[in-house]
Amino acid sequence: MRCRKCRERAVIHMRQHKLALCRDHYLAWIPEQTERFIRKYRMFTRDEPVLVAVSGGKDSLALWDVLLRLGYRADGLYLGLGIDGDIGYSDASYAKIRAFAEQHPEARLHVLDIRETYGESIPELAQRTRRGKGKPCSVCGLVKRHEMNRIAHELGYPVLATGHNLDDEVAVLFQNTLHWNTGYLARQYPVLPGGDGFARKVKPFCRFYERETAAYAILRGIDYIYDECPYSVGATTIYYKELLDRLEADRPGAKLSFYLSFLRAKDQDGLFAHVQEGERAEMHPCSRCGQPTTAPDLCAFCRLWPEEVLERPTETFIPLTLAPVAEPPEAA
Amino acid sequence: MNPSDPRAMQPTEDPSAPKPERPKVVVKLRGQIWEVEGNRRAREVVRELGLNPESYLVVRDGELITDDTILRPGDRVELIAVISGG
Repeated sequence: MRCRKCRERAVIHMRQHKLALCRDHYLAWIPEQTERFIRKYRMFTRDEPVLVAVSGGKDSLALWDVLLRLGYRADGLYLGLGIDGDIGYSDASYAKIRAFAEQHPEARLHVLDIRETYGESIPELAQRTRRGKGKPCSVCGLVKRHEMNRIAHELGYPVLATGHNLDDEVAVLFQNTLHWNTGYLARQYPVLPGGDGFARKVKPFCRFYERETAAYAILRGIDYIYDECPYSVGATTIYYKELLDRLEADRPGAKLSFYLSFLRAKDQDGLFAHVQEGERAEMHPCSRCGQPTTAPDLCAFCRLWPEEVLERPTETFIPLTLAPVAEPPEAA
Repeated sequence: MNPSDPRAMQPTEDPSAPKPERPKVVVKLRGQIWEVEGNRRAREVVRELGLNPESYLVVRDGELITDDTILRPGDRVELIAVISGG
């Protein structure tokens, strides 16, 4: 197969776009498309510093790489979750991120270790609080969302970017549609507005297939963690992704069409608009941390920890910043 | 050698000897190795292993290849699983 642009040997064929590209044209295409999505969904401007949530996986490191190539002021945030799973998962992830950051002196890396900060790793916290039926995924998601938002706010980043790709988005859409979970469907979008205690959350890779972000990482020589989180074995999301890939194999473009039709229904027909308006109206600040919550007093995150943990000195909760730093980001 | 020489008619191999195995395509995935027949497209090889070509990238000699690429006997390829998350 040949590259559509130069007739060199293609390295990837994107059947949903009827587009095959060689290495060089693919490595140019991904940033071009990312820039297009950033503008189309009004994610952020070049004046706004962006905090990229990095896990060490292909998507987040590829996103950080693309944003830096595009010239955005993009710094990384890594949360040490303390997950081992006999493979030293968190340590290995962190090593990949450190290696990436060392190759990009123009960016900073902020690091917060959950155990050092709060006294328990994610698996320990899940065990103590008995959330998630033996799996820490639910409590992990809760802690990550809270801490990413808190740190973005405290360090003056108006924008928090995650590496969610189209397969992530479509798997969640599929799951929420199966359950007609209108609250989640109302919130799902490439950009979630900030304000009222929330950083703006953006997903610049939301229209790339997972195989495309993996291909980008490989072609760019990004050393990402290939092992999965040990707790993701048997996860429902992975099951849905496999199902959707079977559909895609028979009907190229099915995943993209599902997602774009959903966005169009929201944009043009106001699908779920009434649900979203109602949800935001019900929010108020948590009485301890000030982050928005629908709970009457403490938010779900603050309810996880004993009081003495949350009353530790303020500096306990400040992430470590590694880096070649020139200047701190301008306040939002 | 003159073709009329009776020695030219001699079989070069003992027909009862086991035939040497044809080289195969060596496929690696997450530390496991398979050997499969070559002269087929990469996607057919991936399917033969019971996998969906949508969910894997194929790397040959360190280079990414499209799934319509013909894999030749002796090729060594690595499959990269792309599905992640939980």
